[in-house]
Amino acid sequence: MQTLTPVVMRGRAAWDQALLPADEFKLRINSIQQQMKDDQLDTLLVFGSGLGYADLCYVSNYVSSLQWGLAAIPSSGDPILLLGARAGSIEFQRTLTWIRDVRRVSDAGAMTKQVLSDLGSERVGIVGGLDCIPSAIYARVSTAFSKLQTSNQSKKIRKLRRRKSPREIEVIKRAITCARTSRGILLSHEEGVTNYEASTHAELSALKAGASDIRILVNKGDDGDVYPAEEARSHTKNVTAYIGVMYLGYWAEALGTNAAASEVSSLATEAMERLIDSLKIGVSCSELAKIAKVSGYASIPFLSGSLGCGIGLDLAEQPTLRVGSPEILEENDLLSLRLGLVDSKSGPVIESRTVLMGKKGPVLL
Amino acid sequence: MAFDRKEITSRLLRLMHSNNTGALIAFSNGIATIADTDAIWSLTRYRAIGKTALIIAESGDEKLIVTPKWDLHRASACFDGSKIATDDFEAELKNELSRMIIQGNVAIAGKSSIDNLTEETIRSLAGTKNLIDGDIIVRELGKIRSEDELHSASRAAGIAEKGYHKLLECASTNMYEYELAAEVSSYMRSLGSGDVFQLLCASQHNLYLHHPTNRLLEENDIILAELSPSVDGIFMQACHTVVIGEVSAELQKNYDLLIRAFEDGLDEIKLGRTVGQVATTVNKRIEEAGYKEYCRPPYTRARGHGLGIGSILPGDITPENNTVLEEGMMFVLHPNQYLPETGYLLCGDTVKISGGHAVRLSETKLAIGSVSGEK
Repeated sequence: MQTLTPVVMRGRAAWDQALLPADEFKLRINSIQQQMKDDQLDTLLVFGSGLGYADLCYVSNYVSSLQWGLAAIPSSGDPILLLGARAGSIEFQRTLTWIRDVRRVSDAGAMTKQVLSDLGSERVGIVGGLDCIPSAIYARVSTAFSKLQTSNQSKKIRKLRRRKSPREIEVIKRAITCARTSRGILLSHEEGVTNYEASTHAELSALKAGASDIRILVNKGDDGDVYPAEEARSHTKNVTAYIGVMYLGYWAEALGTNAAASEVSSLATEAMERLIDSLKIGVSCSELAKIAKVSGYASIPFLSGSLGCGIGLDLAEQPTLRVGSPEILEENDLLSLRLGLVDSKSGPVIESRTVLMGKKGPVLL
Repeated sequence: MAFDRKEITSRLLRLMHSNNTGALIAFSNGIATIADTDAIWSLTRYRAIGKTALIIAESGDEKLIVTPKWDLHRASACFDGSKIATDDFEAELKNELSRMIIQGNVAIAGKSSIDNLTEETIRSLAGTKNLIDGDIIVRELGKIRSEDELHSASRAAGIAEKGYHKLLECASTNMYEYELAAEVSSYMRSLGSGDVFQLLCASQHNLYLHHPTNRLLEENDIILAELSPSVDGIFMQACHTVVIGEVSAELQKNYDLLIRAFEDGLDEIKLGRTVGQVATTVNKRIEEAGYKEYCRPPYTRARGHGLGIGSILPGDITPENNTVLEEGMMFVLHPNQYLPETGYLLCGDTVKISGGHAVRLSETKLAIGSVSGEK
């Protein structure tokens, strides 16, 4: 779900080695290097910045929010992390990653060229070059490989990211707990407290529980339109809320309304159960979207006609559950499901669940 | 004066004409930074969630392209011109750029947030037209803060002062940095701050300022807090240092030095002087105290900076910056400094230039804070 992005992550920034130890990343790098050998690549360059941190974080644990970064992964051996960090902060940035060789970039083109030369690179794979780095920075970095053979490898890395490891699931469970607690706080406030005040209470709960960031969308009136919590300042009657919580880089969502039980809320619950019962490895995401359709009611505008998507280091990962989606469910997909209906009498209702696609079927988290 | 989009657009068109610019494409992808100008916000007061472009042709023809589609209601509240909400940004951008008759150069603003995909779309449609830097134009338009912006900044300063008092009230041993950060930022949000930029950390000897971590606060810790709340999109920044326990004589001496450097800088801020003169004056006080080598990276980068989302001008407060100070400019002045005896210390406030000289936005006297460790 897209929300207003704050100017800085307001929560905890730390590498939790108990939850995500270095060997978790080493295993990921091993898989990537195996794929690189199959693809005859010498080096993989993985970009991240405020535009998108997920690919870079997957290989480094580094959440690039204020600084841009670039991991250079050789076909064998350890990666090198280049960071566009300020001179004074580089020591702190080093504490956030398992990669031992972290270098502060002064001249992006020259440093990347040196790294590629040291690694003996002729065939270079690029991840996140199109969408995760400002074009102005990419233009400088890309002078380093303009004469080399390059290929876009983003899809392959994102396919690897799609399969969640047990450790990733453990981290996401913490994000889910934060998100659901915050949702409970936001929806349970009595009238007289504004949505804005209730949102700040929900934020405090998540941030004090160790979340790195929290995003909230909440309605101002009864029309189903939602606003970032930075702007919504109305009463708490008929609240529609979206909460996204980031924990150690991983996201979870919780949605809901405080509408009283009604015929439409029962229909939404039934449709969600129908959807979960139909989740099977190999099933078409487009077909799933049709199965959960409820006739006679409008869908909630901010859900954009989707029943959810994969979630992890990105708020929106593969697959997408909507009519027309070409994707099929795979083992270890982690899905954030959202189903919303608008009833002209009782207002909007939303059901949300997080589901792991296990070998034997869906597991509710 | 309140934000007047028509007046801004009119000034923009005049600047475009004088620069032989046939069209300006302002872009935002919703990734906001306090360190740069948000071109869409600057021209419309709409803070984008997703990829958003405002195309303004020299003829006055304009179009706002908004994503995601469902955010049209927020955009409409800020922008009364022609607009379209879509979930296919690139397609709509192509449509509009093909439709508009553009002669002369094409200026692009919001370059720091443009991804390669979007830039390639613009380049392919611009054809042989020159692509020029539109950020210069947009920053120039917003460098003099309007009365409503200064009013919002003053309100934000009031929130920051209350946030600082919240920090003094909450800070104690046996709490984590991130818990303290959460208390302060959420409190400022509850007082009406929109977005909050906040860095907060603590140590017995800080080497630099960073995001809050798992560190447990201890007796004699020095807490660094850069508090930057915003009201109606206008950020201000206040920089504080707080000790858990008693302030040692050495720490007090060093902090007094930073306060004097701040005051020197404040006195130097006058119409017609340059930003570089202000930075040099701040540095002089600290250099003369024997810390010359600490007045440059990696210990210190700048003596303050403009506050982004709106115009980032007058830019970083560094000796090399020759921007001439003008009435209505606003920036944070902070002689934040690593000193070998006491570590990194924060000291600073946002100032506006009013009546020809600098006026601090906060009312609180600059001083090092002190709290008891046990609560």
